[in-house]
Amino acid sequence: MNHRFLAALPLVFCACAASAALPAIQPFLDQHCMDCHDGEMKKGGLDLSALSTDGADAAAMKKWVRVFDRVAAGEMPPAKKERPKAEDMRVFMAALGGDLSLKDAAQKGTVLRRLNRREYQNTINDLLGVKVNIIDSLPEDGRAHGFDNIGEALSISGIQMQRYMEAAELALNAALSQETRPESTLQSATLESDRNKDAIGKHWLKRGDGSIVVFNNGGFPSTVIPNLRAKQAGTYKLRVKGYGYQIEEPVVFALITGSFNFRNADNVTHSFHELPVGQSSTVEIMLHLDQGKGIWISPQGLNGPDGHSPIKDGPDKYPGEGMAFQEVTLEGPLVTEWPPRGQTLLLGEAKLRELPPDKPWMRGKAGYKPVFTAESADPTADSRQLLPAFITAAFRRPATAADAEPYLKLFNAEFAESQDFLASMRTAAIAVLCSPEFLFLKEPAGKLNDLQLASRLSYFITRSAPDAELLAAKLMQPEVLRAQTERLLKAATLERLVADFTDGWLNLREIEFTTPDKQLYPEYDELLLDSMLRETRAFITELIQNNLGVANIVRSDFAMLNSRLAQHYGIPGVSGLNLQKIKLPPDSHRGGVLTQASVLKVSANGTNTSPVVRGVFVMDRILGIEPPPPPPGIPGVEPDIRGATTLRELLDKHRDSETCNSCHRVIDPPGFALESYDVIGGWRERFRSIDQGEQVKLTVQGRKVRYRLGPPVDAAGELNTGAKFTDMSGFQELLLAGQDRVARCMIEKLLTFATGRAPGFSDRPAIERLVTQSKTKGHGMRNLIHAVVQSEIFRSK
Amino acid sequence: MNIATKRQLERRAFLRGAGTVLSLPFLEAMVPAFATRAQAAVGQPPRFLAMCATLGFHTPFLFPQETGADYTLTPYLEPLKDLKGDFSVISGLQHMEQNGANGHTSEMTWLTSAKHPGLAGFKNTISIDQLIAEQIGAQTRFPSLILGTGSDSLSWSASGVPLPAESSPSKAFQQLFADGTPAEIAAQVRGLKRGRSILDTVTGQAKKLHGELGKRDQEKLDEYFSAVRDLEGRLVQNEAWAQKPKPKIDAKPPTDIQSRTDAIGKMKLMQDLIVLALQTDSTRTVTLRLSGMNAVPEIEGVKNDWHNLSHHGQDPAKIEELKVIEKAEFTAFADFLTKLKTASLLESTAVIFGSNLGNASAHNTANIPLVLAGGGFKHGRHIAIDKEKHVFSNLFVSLAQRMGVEADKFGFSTGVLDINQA
Repeated sequence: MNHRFLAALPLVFCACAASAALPAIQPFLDQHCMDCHDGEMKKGGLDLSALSTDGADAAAMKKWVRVFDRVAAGEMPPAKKERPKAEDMRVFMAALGGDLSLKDAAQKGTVLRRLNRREYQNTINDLLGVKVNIIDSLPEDGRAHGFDNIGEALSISGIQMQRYMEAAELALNAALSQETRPESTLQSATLESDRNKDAIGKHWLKRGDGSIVVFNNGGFPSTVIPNLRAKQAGTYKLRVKGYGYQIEEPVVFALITGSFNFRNADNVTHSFHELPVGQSSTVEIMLHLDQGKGIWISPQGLNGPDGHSPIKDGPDKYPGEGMAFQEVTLEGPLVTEWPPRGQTLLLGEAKLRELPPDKPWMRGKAGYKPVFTAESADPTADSRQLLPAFITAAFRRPATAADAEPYLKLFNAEFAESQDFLASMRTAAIAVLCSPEFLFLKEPAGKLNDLQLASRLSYFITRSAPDAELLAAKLMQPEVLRAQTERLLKAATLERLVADFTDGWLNLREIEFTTPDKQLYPEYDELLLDSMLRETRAFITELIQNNLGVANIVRSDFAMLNSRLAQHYGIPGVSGLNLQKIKLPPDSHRGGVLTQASVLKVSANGTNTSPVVRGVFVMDRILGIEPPPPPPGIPGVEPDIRGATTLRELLDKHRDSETCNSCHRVIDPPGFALESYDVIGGWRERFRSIDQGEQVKLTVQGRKVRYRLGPPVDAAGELNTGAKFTDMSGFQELLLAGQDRVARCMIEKLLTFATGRAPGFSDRPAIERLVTQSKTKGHGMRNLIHAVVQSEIFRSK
Repeated sequence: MNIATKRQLERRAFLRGAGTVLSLPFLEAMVPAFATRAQAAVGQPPRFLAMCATLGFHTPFLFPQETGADYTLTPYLEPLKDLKGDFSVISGLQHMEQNGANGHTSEMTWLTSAKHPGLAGFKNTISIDQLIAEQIGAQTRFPSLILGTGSDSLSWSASGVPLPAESSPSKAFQQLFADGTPAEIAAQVRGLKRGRSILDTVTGQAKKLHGELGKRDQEKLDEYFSAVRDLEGRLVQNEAWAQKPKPKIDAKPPTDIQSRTDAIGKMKLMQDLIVLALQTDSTRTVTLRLSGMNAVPEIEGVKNDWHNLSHHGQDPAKIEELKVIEKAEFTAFADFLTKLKTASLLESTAVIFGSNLGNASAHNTANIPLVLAGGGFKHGRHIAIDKEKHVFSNLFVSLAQRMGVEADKFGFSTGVLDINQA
């Protein structure tokens, strides 16, 4: 007995030492919390006696903040227990709040932030004036709070270091591999070619106007445009001339680029376009192509009546829908800047010169890589002039002599060995681009200075390094900071901000994580996927450009739609594939981010929807409340799509347990409201099922659907405040009544993305001030961005 | 002389050398640490291989009803029936507290055992293969081989940083076996030297920077230092190996599969490569991440998206289709084990094959599917582990010990799981 007691002593000691830091709250904890949350009961997985109070323990701090919040909200102690006295509450909140604030303030600040791979690619391309794809050769970045630009989550490994060396060399070579300005050419092609001669007259129809009508979607015979390739990497103008044939709506095609060699492994869908019916028309598209890449114009959604085919009927008699191809032209590369910035930066006056290959015929061979040299009259002097300027550009600040010294040394050593000016400059430049001063955003403690603000602002809004004007601006002055923010928001790079921000905020980067079940959702297609992603981005762009209020995130009277989305949402009168701002009819069930197909798809798994998953999505991303994970050892509810039970019924059982219910009564209701939308964002009144349920008489894309209609949707719910709603519209009303919460969430998400760290407990008062301040202006989205940039939080490490 | 006799003789030689008279049956009961020495004596170094299929396996088709040696083959074990004595199927294992940022984050921790992947305060830790590679990696041309059918891998560095996978069998083959011309080798050595000069230069810069930073920034920069050091070590090692000719083999270089959906084809190419890498002793530690896909895999009888099928929602038709895919994976696995066995590598190679998801349809991480093959263990059984007694990382401890790592703990292990005693 005694032995055991002694043996246990050190352990007890440790536990005391860890939580003794908060003597002021111990009596309150003992009296009101420990009955359930001690080492023995650990209700909901929470053991306050063992919870660390070390400020550096992020997971434990998060739990303490949750304790604070739940007590503050009156959720704890639970209703059936005795209420703490008001004075005790006050003392407890003050003591715990003060302690958490101090601890957070001691820890906070953006951790030395590495450029993520998107920022790295933008930066290096902007620096050198090239357009190379580097993202795919760098490892995926770590994420925190949904974003992939958070300092503490961005790490680096030896392999990654090696990839950085390779990437730098790749980008440098792209800038150093062309001695004369590339000439633009105009290439023209039709589908008529040797390769296609058997298809014409068999699968395809040649018309009197010279056009070739194609009746097949993708597949065979291929509609890759023959003999049309980018001669060099660069920007090209593509023109596609043709029309829709025997079709009621304009004919839609996908523009796909790729090598089209073996099995189309590097194909990328660039965009979707349409041509009008019957009347020859031209679509013009600007695009970047790498050397040797070709063009595939792939018609979409062409149907024909059952029992008919071009081969069986003969293409001239086949009655199905087709696309008439006339002419495709490719013009480029269109060069706006010559020589590329990188060449000027690294070589100055020294001119690039191609070395003749060992044998002259080698130059004509496919895959021949020319080798270059550059002659400098005075290599040492040139390097002393060029490298400091390159370092200044790369480090986003003026380079000191001490900064340049190691790179000059490296240049000298390399040059002594190789006598090759170009190679030695390249080696030194690779080192500059692998240096921590390039790869990381360095921010000292406290207030940021003009240059540090320039980088922070630039990476926030343009997702790349600051330009010369920004580097020269006195950004510590609020009005200058505001004017520069405004300038950057007007630039074309806004689309980068919107794409990267919504990728993290709404998890849109995972939009393709699941593919909808074909049997359940036969109407889903690539064009819908492309359109839904563009819809949300266009919507946020609209909010920013016109400074529309955050209430629009909850519900808007407009939507950014094209014909495909309008068809999906059942909204009449929208034509064309370009997104347009459309005023929504009443009872459209649309308006606001939560009714957009992208969000509804990304919060489902392709087969079924879970109110829990969607509830967490709404809480975390719209209301800014991160629900705690389920306590250890609790399995997820297993969905059953056979059609007999809905997930809601399964969840109801789950929620009978008091422990589960304490969180799920908060998490699930928003998910219930969204039950009216299926896994691809379609409106539904009944669940689709595979097995049981009523048969449906409906054809999609010329085929009878195979799904059945199961139980009805129940979209009613009750928030933990007691407020009830019967459907999505009612839920939106409740959200709108508390829209400050949505504004606060947006501010927090913008701050997280802009600073590379999540705001902490000690930032709460400052954020509250931002919310109040923005409220007077109706929480306009552009104002929110300005408020965030002007905040202490943004202007400090 | 056939292989078995040769080994028998060498075993006897080892016993004589050890100066001990032992009856042969005792050999069968050798504990892992002892097995290492025994293998060293037969000229085969111990090897470690981990393969994880991240979309899970439907365990009712894997785990037999009965435990012990007398079990009825399940659908997934059917392809392995001729190898029954060479593997064990293990149920009941899991890592603790895997509830993470989403249903799939547990794939980050399959070889590390870190808790709450992706949640606040999460920092991954070294994976077991890298711990082993730290210990024995210098003995081979490649400290470890990190492979995947996609760009992610199962391996994490000592600082808990994800290591990217090589997903091109032809590139991996090139690195493993293709000798350059003398001019190319000279250029390679020059390149490696240049790489080191670059790293020297940036290290100097980083040291200066270090002094200007606060504590948390310094910790981040320390990751940079270890990345540079790690790469430097690798470049030095590569330079030494670059001068030595690569192993000569008869096999033809593989052609990468261009199709995104030929999952089994990709798995097979990688497995063939692993056999060659182990056979030539190019490395002794390998991980292979088998990614599922959000598309229809090219397998006869499969018409639906794989990820979608894994969320079968109890639909029997989907489960049947999922079975076709997963059985194809197990068939490829059986072919692979047969190749290892034919090449006399299976006895020396401990292979773990399974998934981070115990029930993929519900993203459940308990009771993960697992097969342990080869490595000289006492096999032929369905071993049902009591989850109160052992967690998955307990097995890692004994597997690491077998590889010569002196450790009695790994990650959140609670003990040592010796499979011969289980």
